[in-house]
Parts: sequence; structure tokens; C-alpha cells
Amino acid sequence: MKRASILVALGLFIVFTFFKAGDEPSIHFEDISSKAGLTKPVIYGGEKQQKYILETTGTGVALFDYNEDGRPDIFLVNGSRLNLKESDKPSNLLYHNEGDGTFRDVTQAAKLAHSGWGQATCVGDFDNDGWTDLLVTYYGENVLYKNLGNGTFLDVSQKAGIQHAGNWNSGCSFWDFDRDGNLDLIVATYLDYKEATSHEPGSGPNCRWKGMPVMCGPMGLKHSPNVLYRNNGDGTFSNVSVASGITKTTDCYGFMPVTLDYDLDGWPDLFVSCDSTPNLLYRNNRTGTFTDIGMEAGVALNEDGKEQASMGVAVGDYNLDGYTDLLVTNFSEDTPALYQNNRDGTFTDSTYSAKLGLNTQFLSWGSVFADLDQDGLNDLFIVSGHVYPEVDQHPSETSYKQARQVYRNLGEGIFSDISAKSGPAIGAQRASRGLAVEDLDGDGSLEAVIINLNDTPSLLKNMAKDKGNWIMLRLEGSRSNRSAIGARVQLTVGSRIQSNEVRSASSFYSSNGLRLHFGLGKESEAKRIEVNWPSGARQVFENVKGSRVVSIHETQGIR
Amino acid sequence: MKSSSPSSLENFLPRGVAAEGSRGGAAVSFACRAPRILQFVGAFLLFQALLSGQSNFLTTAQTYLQQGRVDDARKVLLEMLKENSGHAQGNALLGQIAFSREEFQQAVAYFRKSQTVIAGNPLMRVNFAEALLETGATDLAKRELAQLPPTAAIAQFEAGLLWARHGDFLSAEQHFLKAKAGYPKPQVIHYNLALAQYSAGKFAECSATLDEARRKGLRSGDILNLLGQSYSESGKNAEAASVLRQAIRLYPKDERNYVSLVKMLIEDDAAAEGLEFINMGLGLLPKSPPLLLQRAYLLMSLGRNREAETDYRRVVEMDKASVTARIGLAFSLIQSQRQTEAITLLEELTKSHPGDYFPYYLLGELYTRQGLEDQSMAKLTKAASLQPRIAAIHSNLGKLYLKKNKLSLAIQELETATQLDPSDTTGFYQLSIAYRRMGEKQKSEEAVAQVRRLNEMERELGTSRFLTRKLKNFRNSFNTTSN
Repeated sequence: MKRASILVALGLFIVFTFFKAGDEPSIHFEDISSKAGLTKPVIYGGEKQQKYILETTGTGVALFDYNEDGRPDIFLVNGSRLNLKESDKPSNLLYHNEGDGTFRDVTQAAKLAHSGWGQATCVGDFDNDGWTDLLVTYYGENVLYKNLGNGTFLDVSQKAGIQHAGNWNSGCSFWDFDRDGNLDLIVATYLDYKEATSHEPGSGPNCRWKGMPVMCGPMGLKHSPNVLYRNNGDGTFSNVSVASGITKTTDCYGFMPVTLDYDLDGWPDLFVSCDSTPNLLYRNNRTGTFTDIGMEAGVALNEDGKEQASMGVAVGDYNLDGYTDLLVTNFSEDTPALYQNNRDGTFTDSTYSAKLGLNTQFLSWGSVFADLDQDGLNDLFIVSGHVYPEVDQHPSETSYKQARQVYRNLGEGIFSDISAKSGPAIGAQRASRGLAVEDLDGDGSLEAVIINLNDTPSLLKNMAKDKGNWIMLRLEGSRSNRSAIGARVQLTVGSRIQSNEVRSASSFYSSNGLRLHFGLGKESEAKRIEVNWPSGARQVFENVKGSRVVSIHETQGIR
Repeated sequence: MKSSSPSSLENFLPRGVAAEGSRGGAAVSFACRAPRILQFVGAFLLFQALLSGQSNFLTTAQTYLQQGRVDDARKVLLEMLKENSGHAQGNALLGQIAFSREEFQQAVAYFRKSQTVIAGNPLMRVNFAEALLETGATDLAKRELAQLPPTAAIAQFEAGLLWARHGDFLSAEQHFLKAKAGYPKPQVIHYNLALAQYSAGKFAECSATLDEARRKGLRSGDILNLLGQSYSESGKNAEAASVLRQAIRLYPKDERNYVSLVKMLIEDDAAAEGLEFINMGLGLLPKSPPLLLQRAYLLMSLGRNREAETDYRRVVEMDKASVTARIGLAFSLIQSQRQTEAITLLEELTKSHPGDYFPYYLLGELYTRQGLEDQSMAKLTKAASLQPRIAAIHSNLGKLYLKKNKLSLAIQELETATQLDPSDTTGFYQLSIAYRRMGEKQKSEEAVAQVRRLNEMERELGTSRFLTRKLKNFRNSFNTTSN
């Protein structure tokens, strides 16, 4: 018996040695949404046919800790459908993170129940009271929710002065563009309100796709201007769109505004993805005004000078040069556009050099730069889904529901498509839109929450064992805005310097929350962490242990 | 892909409507013409010789020519010229012989010495003009043909064909117009006149000529097809479609009409309707390569890449030499995300057709997409050496040079591109970047402004029409295609 046990043990040893660390994939996603309790669908538009462009864009998701219990919660924006009875109109959903791998619907309790053609969401503590607030944009009136700190929210839209009738509002971001310590607000708009439901399929030249009549637009439809609100510091906002100069650019079907200090001058700038029109890059003039330099900076168009569909925006430093890069997702028969920051105020379309030009079959939306395997390099996660459900009746080889994509960052500015090896949840096909990532279960690796139209959301967990070490930073401003939005971090691991900024929203219509996740690879600590605050303050910490969430206060340091 | 442009040389005599002795193609009919002329000229010269008393040499030469003994006839004539080097008839016959052998320098020399004969022989004057053209003396050729009697209808017609072959369609038109009243085959003259007008971009005149032909009861597949294309070029799409549909009804086995109609329907974003017509044509002509190729293209535009691949493979099987089909197959593989297979196919094409620029160009694009910039550059450089007048090759090369920060080389390529094609958005956009890096702010802004204009044009026209317009402009400035 004893001899047999030794033989068995030896055999097992051989087996385990064969499958040693390094042979197992370090990215392997499985969908745990059902087990987690995310069982209610996001309703958005018709399932088999969509008559109007309004029915196509979908919604976003925010992952943020609304009750400050240390565990990020999930907020899903819900949409609507044409001709729904009032009683059938679905509500937005807030799921409380129970801490045991499950989530509980607390929407009603939190007073966040609201119906309508929801679009995007963004988070930020606009009144600096220590509780993260929430904005939800709509086709129609936006809703600003003040977090009361007791597990509930209050609709303060009217009081705040951010209601702007007659807009198809799209993406949003809180940011402190004037660095006065109060979070301002940018809301992109997609189309003129009436255009959203005005044109019948096939009724014009922009209403057909490969011979098939489909919803019209956006080409040929009327734009509407993006809106910039300045925080007055008293719970109200002022519309400074015209004064700021952002309305000088008029031909943008705006989707996603993301904030970034692209030139590292300490002032936050703004990139807006624009559908079928040149993207915008507003350089902060530091005077409360902005100049659109998208064309000159090289982010308005692709390398062939062509306008692209431009939906979601991933923001991050993928090549570890300290400067923020952008990846914009596009229509099918096109590639995403990777804009590498040249560190001189311009960008270069590096899609092909980075080997991201091989897949043209996807119509993509949410996208994030995230270190999925925690090796210290930002990988790429993209979700997709066609615009026209009618495509499933068309004999073309595309489909309405599409698989996800994972690209592993190999270093040297190159990615590798590892979608086929990244687990069953990546190959699963859905009509996806919003995407956000956060460490929802506190194990240091990032989960992904995905909005799927007319379906339950996906909650993807990376089950791979062989991931690198990690560290999570949670910043809190005191002179700067409380959420630390705009704070820039440079984290040194070994010889590499990673960088990131706290931002209110990105991807498509979504928010990755306010914490910053860094992979440490084989290292157990960050050699150096430098924080540059919006106020101008700068902090440096050395030899910070990993495998934990580190709270950094603007004046008090690590707590 | 090769387009079935009506200005392709082989279209210059309509198939099935033969000039005397011709087998359809212009080049063939022209070659057939020479022996007849020899015979005709020979008889004339013999008569003249009888008058002049120098009958023996000419008689002998004439006999030899009738027997097909051209070398012997030539020897006799050369012998005759030893005694009288300026003998007009002898020189004329020797000129004809040299001409029929395509010894054009010689032909010119002999014809120069036979002006008195040429003066009375319009067809010989045409041959003289052709010999002059072949030796580069275009102005002299023009002068010769200007001397043709306006009523010499056949000679005027042949002169028109000559200019058409050499790409001077306006001159061709002038001669065809003169031939029109007296040429014995009205269908032929109307068609060729219209074709010259079409090729010269005079679409209204082309349509008018063909409408006149129809009113006279002259009708053929060629006429209807050309009329359809002419209407289309004039923007009269409804009339064009109507004519082409009529052509299809009347001549259901003429594949050109299906191809022309479907091209229009694609431009009008009516690809599904186009597919119905192509399938109709393939029902009658299931092994027609042009129809299969057109259907494959249609299918790709509808996103049905696998089906397109099947059609392309069928054409490749039928015609192993078809570069168009293999390039189309490569496109369908690319669309199906099978770039590696496309690369293999194209690399094979570069070996089997080393003088064809297009596979190299396409490989350049593919290697760029794969991030293999050095390989891309090698292929594009080769493509440019084979065909320097394609803007896209230069703009892609410029892009690569710019990525390597080789500014002056980049600018050189990009400026070439935009000069070749003023609608090359890539070229202008990359130029704006290059100029900015050089510190040439104003030039950069001008280039950006051009990009904005082109993008606006594309938005207004729609991408299909914008690309069609680019192709037409390119075709008008450059008639040679890849295959």
C-alpha cells in the first residue's frame, strides 16, 4: 500500500510538473453572471429589427463602491423599446457586492429606479462630500444622482442645472478642467433629438446596408453640440459650452468623451470619439477654454485620412513611455484605431505596427486597456456586436451577436490575439456594448462586466492561476477633487514604469471605477509610486508592498 | 481587377459585325486589310506601268504578289529601283511590302518616294500615316491624314481606326465623322464613331450618335451596350438601365450587358438587384468568366465572401492564366480573415506574372496590415518600378517612409501620389503629417484642408460613388490596366 502510494504520488508529481507554471494560460475568462445573481436583462431596442437609430447604441455600466465598504458594486444602465407599456419599461439596476461572489439588486432601496432610453454612466464625487455620485445620460433628460452616503441617492438634476432638454445625450465624464478642486462635467451628444426617430428604414441613401433596408444614419442626420458644465462649487453647474470654445467644432456625432492629460502639462484635456466624423481632441488652454486639435494631433482620422465609426475609447499607456495612448473601436470591415502618443503633442496611428489590424470582422464597442495577466503590461479587451439585428436574416457572413477579443501585450508595442485561448466566455457571442473592469472580489485580478443588448449582462472572471502579482491604488483628494479624478500615477516595477490616470469614464459609455490597478509581474512590491495631483501636488512613495489595495490621501499619504 | 472598358482596343471593331475579311478584332481586320491593299495597289500600279512603259518589272512583281511570293516580288522591285531609285510605283509597292512586314522605318522611306502614287491612293496614305506613327512621327502622320479626301469614306474610316489604336480619340472621331456619310456599313461606322466619342469623354455626342443609329433601324448588342454605358457616364442612370435591360432582353447571351448593368446597380447601392441580373445571365451562360467574376465582386460587396470565393475558384479552374480571378480570390480570402492564404496566392502570382504590378501592390498592403513594414516596403517598391503611375502605391510607400522618419523620401512619394491622383486622401493626410514634421505649417494646413474636402465629398456622394468616380478619373488619365 505504502509503495503504491509513493508511486501514485510520483505519478501525480510528474503530472503536475508537466503542467508547470508558465504552460497554463494566464488569461482564462469564465462567465459567472448567473451564479453572481446578475439575472435581469438590459432591454434596448428591437430584438429582430430596429426601425430607428435610437435603438442601436445601447448602454453602459459603472463599477464603483457606492457605499464605501471596500467592494465595488455594479450599476447597469437600462434602455427601452419602442411602444413599451409603462409597466413594462425596465429600470436601471444597482447591484450591491455582497462580498461572497454574489450581487444583490438594491435598485429600489437605493432610489435609483428610473426608466427611459438610458445611455451612458459616469462617476465622481461632484460635491466632495466623500461619497461617489453618479450621472446617467439619456435620450432626453440626464439624471444626476447625489450619493447621500446612507445607501441611497437623490436626483438633483434640476437643482444642479444639468437638465438640457431636447438632446440625445451620449457619453459623459466628470473632470476638473479648471483645476479648482470641483468636478465639472462633459456630456457628449450624438444626434439632434428629433432625428433619432424620424426616418424609416431604406428611405434614403444612408438607410441601406449591403442592399438591405436598415435604420437611417447617422450620416445625413443633424448633429447636436456637446455640452460642458462647470461646477460652481455649490451643488450647481453652469453650461459653459460656448464660452469654452467646444462648440466651435460642429460636425461630430459624439459618443465617448474621455479625459487625459495627453501632453503632461498638468491640465486635463479631452478626447471625444465621433461616429463617421473626425474625432476631437480638445487641448486645455488653461483659461477655461479649449482648442480642437484633433486633426493636427493625428487622432481625428485613421492613417489613410479616413473618418471611422469611432465608438468606444480605451485609454492607457500601452508602451510604457509615460504618455497616454488611445484605442478607438470601429465598424466591421475596418480595424480599431490605435493612436500612439508621440510625446510631442501628436499621435501616430499604430494599428498595424501593433498587429491590431488583422481582425476586420468585428463591430466593436466597449474597450479597455487592462493588465489582465498582471505582467506589468496593459492588455486589450474589446467587446462587439452588430448594429443591425437584421443582419442575421441577410446572407452575409457576419452576425448580430459577436465574440469578444483579448489581445495580450507582448511588449515592444505589439499585441497578440489570444482570444481563442482566453476561455469560453471570450468566444461567447452577444450583442455587446458597455464594458468595465474592476477587481470585484478582492483577489487582485480584474473582472469584466459587459452590457449585452436584450440579454443578461456578462460578468467575466479570470480563472487563470498563473497571473502576476498586483497592487490597487485608491486615491483621495483634499485640495484636489475628492475622487482624485485627473490624478496621474507613475508606478515603477523593476525597470519598467507604468502610468495611469484616475478617470470618471472610458470604454463605451462606462466607468471602470476610481481605483487604479497595476500588475507587478513577479515582483512583490512597487519600487516607486509617484502621484501627481490635479492641484499640482506631488507625492513619491518607495517600496510599496503589493497584493493589496493601497489608499493614498493627497496630504496624508498612504493610509 | 480588369474592367471591360469599351475603350479597350479589342472593342474597336464590334464582334460579329465584320469589316470585309475581318475576324472581329480591329488589329485582326487591319492585318487582313494589307494583302488586299497590296492586290489593289498592284493592279493600279500595273495599269500605270502599262501607261509608262515600265511594265516588265511591275508585271513580274504583281504576278509574284498574286502568287504570295512576296520576297521574290521585293527582289524584282529592288532590281527595278537600281535603275530608277525614284520610281514612284516601285517605291509604293516596296513601301507596302515593308509595311505588311511591320518594317515601319523602311516603309516610311519608300512611301516618301511615292507621293504621286499616294496622292491617288487614300488607303495607301493611311498605311503611310500608320508607319509614321509607329516611328514616332505623330505630327507628320497627322498631316498625311489631313490630306485624305473627305469623300474617301473607307480611307477615312481606316484613319479613324488608326487614331483610335493610338489613343487619339478626338482625331479618330473627326475621321469617322467624315466617313459616316459614305461608309458602306452604317452599323460599323456608327458604332466606331460612338466608341471614339465615348473614349474621348464626349458622352452626349456618343449617345446622340447611337440614338441616330437606332432611329435608322441599326441595332446590335454592341450599340445598345455602348449606349447604356454612355448614358451612365452622362449621369442618366435611368436611361442607361433601361437600355441595358433592353439589350439583355434582345441579346440574352451577350454577357457585356449584364456586366455593365450590374456595375451601375452596384454604384446605385442596388447590389441585390444586380445579383438577380447576373444570376439570370449565368443561367444562360454558366461558364462565362466575366459573369462569374462580376458575381463574385457583387457577392463580396454583399459580405458573402465564401460564395465569392467559390466563383473566383471556378474562374481560376476554367482559366488558369486569369490574373483577375486570382486577385479577386485573394480579396475574398482577405475579407474572410484568411490573410495568410491570400499572401501565399499572391506570392505565387508574383512568380508566375513577375511583370504585373498589382499582386506586388496587394502584398504590400497585406504586409502593412500584418505590421511587417520591411516586407511591405520591398513589395511596394517593386510594384512602383513596374507601374509608376498608381497613386496608391506611392502613398503607401510614403506612409512607410514616414513611419521610419525618412521625411524627404516620404514627401517625395506622397507628392507623387497626390499629383497622380488629386483625390488620394491617404496621400494628402500623410503629407500633412510630413509637412508638419518638417515645420512647413502652411503646407500642412493646406493638405489637411484637402483631406477635409475629400472626406466631405465622400460623405455627400456615398463611398460607392466616390470610389467609382476615382476609378473613372484614373481610367481617363491612364488607359492601361493591370491585365
